[in-house]
Amino acid sequence: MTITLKRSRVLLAIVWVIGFIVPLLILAAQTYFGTVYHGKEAEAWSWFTPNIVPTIGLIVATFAATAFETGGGHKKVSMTFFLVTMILSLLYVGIFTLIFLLEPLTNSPPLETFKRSSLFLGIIQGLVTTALGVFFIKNAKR
Amino acid sequence: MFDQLTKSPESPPPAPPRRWKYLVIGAIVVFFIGLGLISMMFLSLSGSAPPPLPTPTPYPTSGQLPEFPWPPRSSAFTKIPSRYLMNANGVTTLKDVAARLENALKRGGYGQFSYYSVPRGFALVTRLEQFKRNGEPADEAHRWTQQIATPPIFSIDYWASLFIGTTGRYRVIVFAVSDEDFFSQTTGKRVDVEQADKLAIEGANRLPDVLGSTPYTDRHLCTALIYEFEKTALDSPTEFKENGSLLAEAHLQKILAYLEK
Repeated sequence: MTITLKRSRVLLAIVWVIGFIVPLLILAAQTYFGTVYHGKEAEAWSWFTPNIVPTIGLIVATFAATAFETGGGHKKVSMTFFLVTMILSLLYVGIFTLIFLLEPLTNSPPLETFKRSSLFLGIIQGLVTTALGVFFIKNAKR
Repeated sequence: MFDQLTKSPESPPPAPPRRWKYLVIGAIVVFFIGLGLISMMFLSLSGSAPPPLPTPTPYPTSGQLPEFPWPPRSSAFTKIPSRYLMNANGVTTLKDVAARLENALKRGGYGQFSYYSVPRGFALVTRLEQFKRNGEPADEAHRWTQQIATPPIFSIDYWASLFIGTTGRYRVIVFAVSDEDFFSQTTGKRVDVEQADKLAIEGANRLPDVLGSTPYTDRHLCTALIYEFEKTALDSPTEFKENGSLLAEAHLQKILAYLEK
């Protein structure tokens, strides 16, 4: 089974945009109130930015690059590979969002939770970035 | 020579005139009269001497109790009406007051408390307790610990913690019973959270009988002192609050209801 490149990009983009907007809004609200990080908001943003912004940036850049293309997205992609990429994407953005949503339920300061999360988030990020590269980098060149 | 032999000896001195005799007798009489008067004066004074001042009876000693930091410096305080503490009939002693306070504390879920001495009275101190924003005690799993209670997921407290942050609130309630005049907290002794955490354990488990048998009079006053502490973040220290976030009555909501009955 296969899926078109265009369709697969759109579905992956939806997952990543939602996974980016929800934590972004939470962190923005926490920064606005200023009572969660107690003056260390910059550290929180320093953790947030490299964990999600490069991937979103890649997706947006790919869409921007192909914005005026017509008919170029009918290339077929293996459904299996797409599902693997989708599962990894859902896993990564799900964990990333849960790190914020579970903050009130932990007994650690938020910044310490972020640091600990980087230990396993980095592993998944490596895998998902490799898989996304096929959809957004390799095929964007054509 | 014979004239000298035959000469009669010198004639004796002339006898003093009679008035001298009378003067001597009069002096002797005056002397004895004066002696008598002086004696009578001494006797009369010793007979009507006021009794010695009684040794003032000291206030029943609370020396067996450890001392509570006094004067206090609490976050909030309020007076407990005496009608909640006094017996309907007969004399009320400090022991009766203590029993009434203990009963109200137990029914309010305060199972651990201890006694300390304050000038001319006693203090009954509860354990350091975590409480919610509205003054109610935290859930039982976190009530007696300093670990900040986690809210139920997706509850109002959860969303508040997510966007505003987590705050730990703690308090110690002290009932100070004394007939000493009103104290000012200007120079009061502060209690930090480490001390507060040990107060309910390091005090006495009961009121000494000597102090407990003292009558609770109209001059006595029971003051509820609230020592409030706050931890604004999980990695920040727990600090004493100079001014409580709630009125003392809000802190006592679980206890006053049982005192009023």
